[in-house]
Amino acid sequence: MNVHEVSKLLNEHENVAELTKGEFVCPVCEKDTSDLLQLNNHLDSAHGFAEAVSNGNKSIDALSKKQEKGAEVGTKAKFDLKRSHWAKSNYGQSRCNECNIKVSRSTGVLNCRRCGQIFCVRHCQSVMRLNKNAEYDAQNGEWCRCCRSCFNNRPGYNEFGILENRTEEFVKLRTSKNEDKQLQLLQLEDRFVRLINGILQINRNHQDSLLASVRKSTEIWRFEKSVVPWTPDHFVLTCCICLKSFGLTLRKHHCRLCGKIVCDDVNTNCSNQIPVLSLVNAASDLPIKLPASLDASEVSTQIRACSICTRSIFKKRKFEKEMSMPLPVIFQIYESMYSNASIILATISGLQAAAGGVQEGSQTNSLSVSDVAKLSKTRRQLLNTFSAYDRLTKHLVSSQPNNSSEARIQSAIISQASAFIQRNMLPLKHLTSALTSGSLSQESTPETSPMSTALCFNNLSIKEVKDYRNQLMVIKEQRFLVEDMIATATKQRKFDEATTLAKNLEELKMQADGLAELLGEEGFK
Amino acid sequence: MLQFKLVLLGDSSVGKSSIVHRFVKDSFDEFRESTIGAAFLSQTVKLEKHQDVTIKFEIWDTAGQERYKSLAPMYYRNANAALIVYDVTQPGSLVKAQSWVEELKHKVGDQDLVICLVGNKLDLCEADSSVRQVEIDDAQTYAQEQHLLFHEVSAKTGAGIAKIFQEMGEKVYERKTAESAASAATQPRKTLNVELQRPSTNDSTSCCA
Repeated sequence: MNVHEVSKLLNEHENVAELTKGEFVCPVCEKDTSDLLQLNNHLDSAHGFAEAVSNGNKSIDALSKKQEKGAEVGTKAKFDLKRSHWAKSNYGQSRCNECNIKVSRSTGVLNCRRCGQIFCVRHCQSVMRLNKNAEYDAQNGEWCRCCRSCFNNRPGYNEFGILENRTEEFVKLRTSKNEDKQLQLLQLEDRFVRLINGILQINRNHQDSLLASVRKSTEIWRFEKSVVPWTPDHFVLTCCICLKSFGLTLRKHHCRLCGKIVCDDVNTNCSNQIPVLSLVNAASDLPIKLPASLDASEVSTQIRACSICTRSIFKKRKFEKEMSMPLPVIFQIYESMYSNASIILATISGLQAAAGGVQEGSQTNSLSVSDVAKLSKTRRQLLNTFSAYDRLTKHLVSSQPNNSSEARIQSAIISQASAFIQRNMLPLKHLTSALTSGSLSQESTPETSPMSTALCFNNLSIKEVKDYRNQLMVIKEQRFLVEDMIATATKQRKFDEATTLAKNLEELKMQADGLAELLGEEGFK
Repeated sequence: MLQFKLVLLGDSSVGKSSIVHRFVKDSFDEFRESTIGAAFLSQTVKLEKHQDVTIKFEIWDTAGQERYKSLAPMYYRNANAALIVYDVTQPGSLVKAQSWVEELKHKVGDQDLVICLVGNKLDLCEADSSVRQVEIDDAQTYAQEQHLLFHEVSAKTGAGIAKIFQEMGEKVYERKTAESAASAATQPRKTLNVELQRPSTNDSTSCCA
């Protein structure tokens, strides 16, 4: 610890008294106490907290009596704490066990009442209940000062509070809720089956009668009411789903599955008229009996169902049905692209390590033939995977999306794929050049992947373009420098230097023009 | 006065600029910033061996950083002399120097070019011989094999700097005179040239515009 720190600490110690003033105000009677110890003692004696701990069921009456008594007594009875284990302290010689500062009058000195070690006041501010033998006693002990480590190490102390495991409670609650839900769903499905079966039966009964259109509807209406009790109209003022108030334009309707009153606003879709046939088709796993002699396609009855009921019955079924359907073309392509991409990434990282080996190996010329063959094979594989990826991307670009969300997904995949190609083509090119410049030169790059041509600008590879741009930049910089040098040389009347420099400037200009021409479109605008 | 183009090449931070500044301005800067592009300086040398003939070096001090590598060909093209510098405490810099020698021989051909290999930072070795990483013998043998001039110098103390340029000057001067003698032998009439030292300038700041 250097001098500066020590003096800082000392200053802090001097400030402790001022800082802590007002921090230890009793929360009950707002009496100002000097520190935590006194506050605890005050709480115990004046407000009866000690009794509250020892026998927690004391009545409030008794507590308030105690309070008065405590206030009368004022000071507590003398408490004989064991002191034989205390370490001896000397101002200016002993050191605080926590901050290792020499204790003095400004820092104060205290023995931790439990372990007896010496501490400055600042590091002996915790309090705990101790019995006469200086042992921790939560029930009957007296509040005593102690150091932080004694405080933290006392039995039952838990720095982050109490942990209580309530998982079981939660699980119980959750299962019961889930069971409720399941039960409701079963009831709903049961009602649904009864309703549909009844309607189909009525349809069957009236199949041949002439008066069907008149009598059938009333019969169905009556039957629907028997399946589920309809909520009476009088007391319902708003739709139970969207909470809009009913009126002349917004009429009341009953859901035939739960009997609640809902609106049929087209915007909120609270309820809909659904053809019975489509319902039967959608829930084909439910035990719905089509009467034998009924022509299913003739049934034109529709029933009204609220969005909540429809969702609870059909959502899961719809999801399962969609899951079992074959994936759209776009996703099939994407999945194979994805697997290709992961292969590419794995191969590239492997090949990069190998290429590092090749570059080192090319200096010592110690690369075995089998290694070379293996490397070239991996490289060919990589190139093939890349071209496969590219083909898939092109396929994806040309395929037609079925709806707008598919189109969005498609464009996202395309942009992701092009980013992937851009990101990984460069290392690939670098790799190929590293490998060919190494001992693989005899192989003479049998196949350039179709993409490398696709990604070329002006017959230059990305790397070449980058190089040329760098060169052009350097030359332009140098032109500025030389122009500057010419100016200085002329100012200093060193004309022969100026001519030499001018010649050089001319050369630089030519070179820059040459590069700009080479870069063509890819140069700086 | 004869003028010769001299180019400095070598890895970055081997002390090319320091050597030039020691030669041209006889100063040394402990904290020189790395060169950008290529710097131009000129200095005259009196050749003691040739009756105090004065020649002038136009020195192109190139940046050693990889980024500026593309500038180098412009400056070593048509150069009369090349100073290839390495750092005696950095073995990697000698490898780089050797690659420069290769490039020069390949692109320019050494019949036109006087190449001098220079090991810099000799002062470091004098203080503590353990920091030397490139043995003088190794570099010397290499220089002899490749027919290069060779010196070990210190730009900081100035040791050996003047000698390099003296020797280089002599070499280029000898070549030039041999050349002109040869051309004089074949075409004797063309030697009667009047060389005007200073080309005329139409600069407004000049009094004799």
